[in-house]
Amino acid sequence: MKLTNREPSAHDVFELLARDHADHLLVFLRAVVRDRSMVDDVFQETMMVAWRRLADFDRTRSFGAWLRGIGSRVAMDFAGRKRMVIVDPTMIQEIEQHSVAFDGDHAHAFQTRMATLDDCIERLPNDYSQVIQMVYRADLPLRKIASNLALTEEAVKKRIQRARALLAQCLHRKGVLA
Amino acid sequence: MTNIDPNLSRPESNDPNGLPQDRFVDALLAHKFSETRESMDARIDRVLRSIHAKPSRAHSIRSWHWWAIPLAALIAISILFMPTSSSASAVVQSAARVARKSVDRQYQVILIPKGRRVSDQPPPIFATLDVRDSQHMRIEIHFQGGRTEIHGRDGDTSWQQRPDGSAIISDRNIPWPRWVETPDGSLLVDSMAEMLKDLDDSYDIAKVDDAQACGRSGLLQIRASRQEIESVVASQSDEKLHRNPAERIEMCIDPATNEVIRLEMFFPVQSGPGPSDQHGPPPPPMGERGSPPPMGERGSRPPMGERGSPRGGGPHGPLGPPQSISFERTETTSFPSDWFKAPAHAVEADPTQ
Repeated sequence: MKLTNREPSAHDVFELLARDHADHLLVFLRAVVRDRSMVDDVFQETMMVAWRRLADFDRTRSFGAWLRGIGSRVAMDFAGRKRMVIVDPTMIQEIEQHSVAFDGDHAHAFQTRMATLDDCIERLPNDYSQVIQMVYRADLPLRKIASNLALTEEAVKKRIQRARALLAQCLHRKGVLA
Repeated sequence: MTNIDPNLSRPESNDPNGLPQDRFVDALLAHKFSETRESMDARIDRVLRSIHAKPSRAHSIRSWHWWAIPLAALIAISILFMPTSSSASAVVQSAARVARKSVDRQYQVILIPKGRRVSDQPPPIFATLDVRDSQHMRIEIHFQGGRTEIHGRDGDTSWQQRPDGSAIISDRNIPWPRWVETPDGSLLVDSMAEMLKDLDDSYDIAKVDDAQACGRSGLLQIRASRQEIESVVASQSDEKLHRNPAERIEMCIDPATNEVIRLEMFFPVQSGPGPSDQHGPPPPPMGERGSPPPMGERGSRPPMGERGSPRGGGPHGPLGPPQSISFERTETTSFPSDWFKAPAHAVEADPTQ
């Protein structure tokens, strides 16, 4: 977006806010909606609804929280249309609590918190950081990881979950997770 | 990390469907490893384009012509009756032709090392391979602990930048070492065209139907299995086998472009020195070669391009080839013109050392 002397338009303001909060919204939607392609659609639709309702946004409140509120309603609506159950509203509220703790209300703050995640990954014992890299970075299927590590798929699942639990503990200690 | 809560060692659920906290951490990880600044900008750009766009649903429905349905049915029938085994080699040949074109391509490379002992599985090694053609390549290898080593080839010049930042230009008489040695096994570094050239008649090539293997729909999955594994492993002098001892190569090819989107090589456990001869400490990390391992214990390990080692194209490291190496195409634009050149501070390797 080019900076000029003119007053910023609603479109300019929306673009700035959208870019600042897109990462956090996407994380929230990924936590709520498990289906990858659905996450993309819900993200797009959430942003479109936010644009149409921008006049309703209360500037004294967090734009990120407002966006996530729209996102959770859009996700429920999508799931209803596809006759899918994603998560119940209580679960969404709890995910939102973690989002609020993670929320710096600014893109820079989000990046800082992601750096905390990097730090926590670095501190994981080797077995756990290895499996995190295989699942999330390399996107290897479970059976391939199991075969590479000479473990059962069940053991790999447990190791992945344990790795996430250790990361959650670490993030909690560093004050970026509820 | 210390102070681990012992209660967390029990399985709570297999998938992050239970705890909101677990789902949130899962989402953070997925975001961290799958999104880039560019991909996020692209998402926002899509939103902004949609804001300005007029509804196009009616237009898209009208654009389906009456003949589209029978045509789609015809294509579906053609695909169903396509001979799978006979055309697999043709697909690979087409992919090789496409790969020979001089185009900037980037691959994410993952090396899964062999375990030195049953209980000791080293972590995977990640690398980014940039290729223009078989004469212009650059690989950035990321080791645990943030160490990075870069190897490059710019025509006749091969160079290496070590983790400490120092860089050397290899002796021009030594050919590009197809296999780069890492502490956890040798890593094949070559253009996709050269790798596909390895798939000669010593491999059985067939189409396979494994929806999960390619990670996305619409790709052709091809499997190349080396014939008579036992005799091949026994004949280590075989030059072809020496160039690439992979016993199985899995490929995912885009049928629209014939581009190889993913290629993964699996090596036999027997190839190269295995866990049985591993005594003593693991080898030093690359770039920390101050004290070489004693001869006879792990064998000598001349650094790449620094000595006149017989690097005809096979894996020379003490561990031999790894368990597997995968190459996955990533989206990339053209590399800068000097991308493959040796760093300005690189010095000529001293052949006397």
